[in-house]
Amino acid sequence: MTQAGKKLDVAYEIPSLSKMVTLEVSRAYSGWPEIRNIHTDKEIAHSFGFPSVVAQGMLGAEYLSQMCMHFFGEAWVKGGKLSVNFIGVIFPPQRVTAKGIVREKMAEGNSMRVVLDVWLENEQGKKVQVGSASGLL
Amino acid sequence: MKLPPDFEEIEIGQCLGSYDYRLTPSRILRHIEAAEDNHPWYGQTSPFGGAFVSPAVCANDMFMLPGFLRDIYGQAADGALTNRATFFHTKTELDFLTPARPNKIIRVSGKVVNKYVKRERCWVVLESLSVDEDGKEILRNRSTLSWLAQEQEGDKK
Repeated sequence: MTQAGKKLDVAYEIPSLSKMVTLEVSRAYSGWPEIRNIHTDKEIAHSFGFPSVVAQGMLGAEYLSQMCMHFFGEAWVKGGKLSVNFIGVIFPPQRVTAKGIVREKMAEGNSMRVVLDVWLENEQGKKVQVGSASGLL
Repeated sequence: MKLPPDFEEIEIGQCLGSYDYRLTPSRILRHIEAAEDNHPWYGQTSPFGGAFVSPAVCANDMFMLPGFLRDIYGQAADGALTNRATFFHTKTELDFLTPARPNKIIRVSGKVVNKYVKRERCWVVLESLSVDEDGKEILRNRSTLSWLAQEQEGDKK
Protein backbone atom coordinates (compact mmCIF):
# COMPACT_ATOMS: atom_id res chain seq x y z
CA MET A 1 0.00 0.00 0.00
CA THR A 2 1.36 3.42 -0.85
CA GLN A 3 1.53 6.14 1.71
CA ALA A 4 -1.48 7.78 0.10
CA GLY A 5 -3.56 4.78 1.03
CA LYS A 6 -2.98 5.58 4.66
CA LYS A 7 -3.01 9.35 4.86
CA LEU A 8 -5.55 11.34 2.90
CA ASP A 9 -6.56 13.94 5.45
CA VAL A 10 -6.66 17.49 4.17
CA ALA A 11 -3.68 19.46 5.51
CA TYR A 12 -1.61 16.29 5.96
CA GLU A 13 2.00 17.05 5.11
CA ILE A 14 3.42 14.26 3.01
CA PRO A 15 6.98 13.00 3.53
CA SER A 16 9.45 15.47 2.06
CA LEU A 17 12.40 14.72 -0.20
CA SER A 18 15.74 16.48 0.09
CA LYS A 19 18.36 16.57 -2.67
CA MET A 20 21.76 18.16 -3.06
CA VAL A 21 22.07 19.90 -6.41
CA THR A 22 25.72 20.06 -7.38
CA LEU A 23 27.36 21.15 -10.61
CA GLU A 24 27.76 17.48 -11.46
CA VAL A 25 24.07 16.80 -10.87
CA SER A 26 23.05 19.77 -12.99
CA ARG A 27 25.35 18.67 -15.78
CA ALA A 28 24.26 15.04 -15.65
CA TYR A 29 20.58 15.94 -15.74
CA SER A 30 20.90 18.47 -18.56
CA GLY A 31 22.96 16.43 -20.97
CA TRP A 32 26.56 17.46 -20.44
CA PRO A 33 28.86 17.13 -22.35
CA GLU A 34 26.72 16.88 -25.48
CA ILE A 35 24.71 19.91 -24.44
CA ARG A 36 26.41 23.13 -23.44
CA ASN A 37 24.15 25.81 -22.04
CA ILE A 38 23.47 27.79 -18.88
CA HIS A 39 22.60 24.54 -17.10
CA THR A 40 25.90 22.82 -17.83
CA ASP A 41 28.60 25.31 -18.82
CA LYS A 42 30.02 27.88 -16.41
CA GLU A 43 31.31 30.21 -19.11
CA ILE A 44 27.98 30.28 -20.92
CA ALA A 45 26.16 30.91 -17.65
CA HIS A 46 28.55 33.79 -16.91
CA SER A 47 28.00 35.26 -20.38
CA PHE A 48 24.34 35.61 -19.53
CA GLY A 49 25.12 37.30 -16.24
CA PHE A 50 24.66 34.35 -13.93
CA PRO A 51 27.19 33.78 -11.12
CA SER A 52 27.26 30.05 -11.89
CA VAL A 53 25.33 27.45 -13.83
CA VAL A 54 21.58 27.47 -13.33
CA ALA A 55 20.02 24.13 -12.49
CA GLN A 56 17.29 23.30 -14.98
CA GLY A 57 13.79 24.00 -13.71
CA MET A 58 12.79 20.52 -14.81
CA LEU A 59 15.27 19.08 -12.32
CA GLY A 60 13.22 20.58 -9.53
CA ALA A 61 10.08 19.22 -11.15
CA GLU A 62 11.83 15.84 -11.22
CA TYR A 63 12.28 16.01 -7.46
CA LEU A 64 8.65 16.95 -6.92
CA SER A 65 7.67 14.02 -9.10
CA GLN A 66 9.85 11.66 -7.07
CA MET A 67 8.21 12.86 -3.85
CA CYS A 68 4.78 12.26 -5.36
CA MET A 69 5.85 8.87 -6.71
CA HIS A 70 6.73 7.76 -3.19
CA PHE A 71 3.44 9.07 -1.86
CA PHE A 72 0.99 8.08 -4.58
CA GLY A 73 2.69 5.07 -6.13
CA GLU A 74 0.55 3.62 -8.92
CA ALA A 75 -1.80 6.59 -8.69
CA TRP A 76 1.08 8.81 -9.81
CA VAL A 77 2.31 6.68 -12.67
CA LYS A 78 -1.14 6.40 -14.23
CA GLY A 79 -3.13 9.60 -13.92
CA GLY A 80 -0.69 11.77 -12.01
CA LYS A 81 -0.58 15.49 -12.77
CA LEU A 82 2.06 18.04 -11.85
CA SER A 83 1.80 21.77 -12.42
CA VAL A 84 4.80 23.82 -11.32
CA ASN A 85 5.76 27.47 -11.54
CA PHE A 86 9.49 28.09 -11.57
CA ILE A 87 9.68 31.22 -9.43
CA GLY A 88 13.28 31.09 -8.29
CA VAL A 89 16.67 30.00 -9.49
CA ILE A 90 18.76 27.12 -8.17
CA PHE A 91 22.48 27.84 -8.29
CA PRO A 92 24.53 24.76 -7.47
CA PRO A 93 25.73 23.77 -4.99
CA GLN A 94 22.41 24.05 -3.23
CA ARG A 95 20.29 21.69 -1.16
CA VAL A 96 16.62 21.74 -2.08
CA THR A 97 13.67 20.06 -0.40
CA ALA A 98 10.43 19.01 -2.05
CA LYS A 99 7.37 19.33 0.16
CA GLY A 100 3.64 18.84 -0.17
CA ILE A 101 0.36 19.11 1.71
CA VAL A 102 -2.98 17.47 0.95
CA ARG A 103 -5.28 20.26 -0.17
CA GLU A 104 -8.45 18.53 -1.32
CA LYS A 105 -10.03 15.35 -2.53
CA MET A 106 -12.53 15.09 -5.32
CA ALA A 107 -14.40 12.34 -7.09
CA GLU A 108 -13.29 11.63 -10.66
CA GLY A 109 -15.39 8.94 -12.26
CA ASN A 110 -15.09 5.84 -10.09
CA SER A 111 -11.84 7.11 -8.61
CA MET A 112 -10.75 9.85 -6.29
CA ARG A 113 -8.28 12.56 -7.20
CA VAL A 114 -6.18 13.71 -4.27
CA VAL A 115 -4.70 17.15 -4.81
CA LEU A 116 -1.58 18.45 -3.10
CA ASP A 117 -0.02 21.86 -2.83
CA VAL A 118 3.64 21.20 -3.60
CA TRP A 119 6.75 23.32 -3.49
CA LEU A 120 10.51 23.21 -3.60
CA GLU A 121 12.50 25.08 -0.95
CA ASN A 122 16.14 26.08 -0.98
CA GLU A 123 18.46 25.93 2.01
CA GLN A 124 17.23 29.28 3.22
CA GLY A 125 13.65 28.07 3.27
CA LYS A 126 12.75 30.16 0.26
CA LYS A 127 10.37 28.63 -2.23
CA VAL A 128 11.89 28.31 -5.69
CA GLN A 129 9.10 26.28 -7.24
CA VAL A 130 5.40 26.18 -6.34
CA GLY A 131 2.44 24.38 -7.76
CA SER A 132 0.09 21.47 -7.39
CA ALA A 133 0.18 17.74 -7.87
CA SER A 134 -2.51 15.12 -7.90
CA GLY A 135 -2.84 11.39 -8.03
CA LEU A 136 -5.80 9.32 -9.13
CA LEU A 137 -6.66 6.74 -6.47
CA MET B 1 25.57 37.14 -28.60
CA LYS B 2 22.28 37.23 -26.74
CA LEU B 3 19.46 37.24 -29.22
CA PRO B 4 15.86 36.65 -28.36
CA PRO B 5 14.05 34.12 -30.49
CA ASP B 6 12.27 35.76 -33.41
CA PHE B 7 8.98 36.16 -31.58
CA GLU B 8 7.18 37.71 -34.53
CA GLU B 9 7.83 34.66 -36.70
CA ILE B 10 6.51 32.19 -34.15
CA GLU B 11 2.93 31.25 -34.99
CA ILE B 12 0.24 29.83 -32.75
CA GLY B 13 -0.40 26.28 -33.97
CA GLN B 14 3.11 26.07 -35.42
CA CYS B 15 4.28 22.48 -35.50
CA LEU B 16 7.56 21.82 -33.72
CA GLY B 17 8.17 18.59 -35.57
CA SER B 18 8.77 15.17 -34.08
CA TYR B 19 11.53 12.72 -33.32
CA ASP B 20 11.98 9.18 -32.03
CA TYR B 21 14.26 7.67 -29.44
CA ARG B 22 14.55 4.33 -27.70
CA LEU B 23 14.36 4.00 -23.92
CA THR B 24 17.56 2.03 -23.78
CA PRO B 25 18.92 0.67 -20.47
CA SER B 26 21.81 3.13 -20.68
CA ARG B 27 19.45 6.05 -21.20
CA ILE B 28 17.31 4.92 -18.29
CA LEU B 29 20.33 4.42 -16.07
CA ARG B 30 21.67 7.84 -16.99
CA HIS B 31 18.39 9.40 -15.86
CA ILE B 32 18.29 7.37 -12.65
CA GLU B 33 21.82 8.43 -11.77
CA ALA B 34 21.32 12.08 -12.70
CA ALA B 35 18.05 12.34 -10.80
CA GLU B 36 19.23 10.08 -7.98
CA ASP B 37 15.95 8.20 -8.30
CA ASN B 38 16.21 4.60 -7.17
CA HIS B 39 12.58 3.57 -6.72
CA PRO B 40 12.42 -0.28 -6.55
CA TRP B 41 9.72 -0.41 -9.23
CA TYR B 42 12.29 0.65 -11.81
CA GLY B 43 14.04 -2.69 -11.41
CA GLN B 44 12.44 -6.02 -12.16
CA THR B 45 9.06 -5.96 -10.52
CA SER B 46 6.24 -3.48 -10.22
CA PRO B 47 2.46 -3.49 -9.85
CA PHE B 48 2.31 -2.97 -13.62
CA GLY B 49 3.94 -6.34 -14.38
CA GLY B 50 7.67 -6.07 -14.91
CA ALA B 51 9.98 -3.10 -14.83
CA PHE B 52 8.91 0.32 -15.98
CA VAL B 53 10.59 3.65 -16.35
CA SER B 54 10.35 6.66 -14.05
CA PRO B 55 7.37 8.79 -15.12
CA ALA B 56 9.64 11.82 -15.31
CA VAL B 57 12.18 10.32 -17.71
CA CYS B 58 10.16 11.74 -20.61
CA ALA B 59 9.67 15.15 -19.01
CA ASN B 60 12.45 16.78 -21.04
CA ASP B 61 11.34 15.31 -24.37
CA MET B 62 9.83 18.62 -25.49
CA PHE B 63 13.17 20.36 -25.45
CA MET B 64 14.69 18.14 -28.14
CA LEU B 65 11.93 18.71 -30.68
CA PRO B 66 13.55 19.87 -33.93
CA GLY B 67 11.25 22.87 -34.19
CA PHE B 68 11.96 23.89 -30.63
CA LEU B 69 15.71 23.67 -31.14
CA ARG B 70 15.58 25.57 -34.42
CA ASP B 71 12.96 28.26 -33.78
CA ILE B 72 12.93 28.74 -30.02
CA TYR B 73 16.29 27.64 -28.66
CA GLY B 74 18.38 28.72 -31.62
CA GLN B 75 20.47 25.67 -32.44
CA ALA B 76 23.66 26.66 -34.21
CA ALA B 77 24.35 25.62 -37.80
CA ASP B 78 26.94 23.11 -36.61
CA GLY B 79 24.38 21.55 -34.30
CA ALA B 80 25.84 22.95 -31.12
CA LEU B 81 23.23 23.39 -28.46
CA THR B 82 24.34 26.55 -26.79
CA ASN B 83 22.06 29.21 -25.40
CA ARG B 84 21.17 31.70 -28.04
CA ALA B 85 18.86 33.73 -25.92
CA THR B 86 18.05 34.38 -22.31
CA PHE B 87 14.68 32.74 -22.16
CA PHE B 88 13.34 31.26 -18.99
CA HIS B 89 11.23 28.18 -18.52
CA THR B 90 8.60 29.59 -16.18
CA LYS B 91 5.99 26.86 -15.87
CA THR B 92 5.47 23.22 -16.69
CA GLU B 93 2.35 21.07 -16.55
CA LEU B 94 2.93 17.35 -16.81
CA ASP B 95 0.33 14.63 -17.25
CA PHE B 96 1.64 11.14 -16.51
CA LEU B 97 -0.58 8.88 -18.56
CA THR B 98 0.91 5.41 -18.90
CA PRO B 99 4.05 3.79 -17.50
CA ALA B 100 6.80 3.69 -20.09
CA ARG B 101 8.61 0.41 -20.59
CA PRO B 102 12.33 -0.17 -21.14
CA ASN B 103 13.49 -0.58 -24.74
CA LYS B 104 10.32 0.90 -26.21
CA ILE B 105 10.62 3.51 -28.93
CA ILE B 106 9.12 6.83 -27.95
CA ARG B 107 7.84 9.31 -30.51
CA VAL B 108 7.68 12.93 -29.39
CA SER B 109 5.69 15.61 -31.18
CA GLY B 110 4.75 19.14 -30.26
CA LYS B 111 3.40 22.52 -31.24
CA VAL B 112 3.06 26.13 -30.19
CA VAL B 113 -0.32 26.65 -28.53
CA ASN B 114 -0.12 30.28 -27.49
CA LYS B 115 2.06 33.37 -27.56
CA TYR B 116 1.62 36.83 -26.08
CA VAL B 117 3.44 39.86 -24.74
CA LYS B 118 2.91 40.81 -21.13
CA ARG B 119 4.86 43.08 -18.80
CA GLU B 120 7.45 43.76 -21.51
CA ARG B 121 8.20 40.10 -21.93
CA CYS B 122 7.45 37.64 -24.70
CA TRP B 123 5.73 34.43 -23.68
CA VAL B 124 5.17 31.23 -25.62
CA VAL B 125 3.26 28.14 -24.53
CA LEU B 126 4.28 24.82 -26.02
CA GLU B 127 2.71 21.39 -25.83
CA SER B 128 4.32 18.05 -26.48
CA LEU B 129 3.18 14.45 -26.36
CA SER B 130 5.36 11.37 -25.88
CA VAL B 131 3.84 8.17 -27.29
CA ASP B 132 5.38 4.70 -27.29
CA GLU B 133 5.62 2.39 -30.30
CA ASP B 134 2.39 0.65 -29.26
CA GLY B 135 0.49 3.89 -29.45
CA LYS B 136 0.25 4.37 -25.70
CA GLU B 137 0.41 7.97 -24.60
CA ILE B 138 3.11 8.21 -21.97
CA LEU B 139 3.40 11.88 -21.02
CA ARG B 140 1.96 15.22 -21.99
CA ASN B 141 3.92 18.40 -21.30
CA ARG B 142 2.61 21.94 -21.51
CA SER B 143 5.34 24.48 -20.81
CA THR B 144 5.56 28.24 -20.72
CA LEU B 145 8.73 30.06 -21.73
CA SER B 146 9.46 33.75 -21.37
CA TRP B 147 12.12 36.19 -22.52
CA LEU B 148 12.69 39.92 -22.67
CA ALA B 149 10.71 41.62 -25.42
CA GLN B 150 13.63 43.85 -26.40
CA GLU B 151 17.00 42.83 -27.75
CA GLN B 152 19.95 43.68 -25.61
CA GLU B 153 22.14 46.62 -26.62
CA GLY B 154 24.80 45.57 -29.10
CA ASP B 155 22.93 42.50 -30.32
CA LYS B 156 22.49 41.91 -33.99
CA LYS B 157 20.56 39.44 -36.12
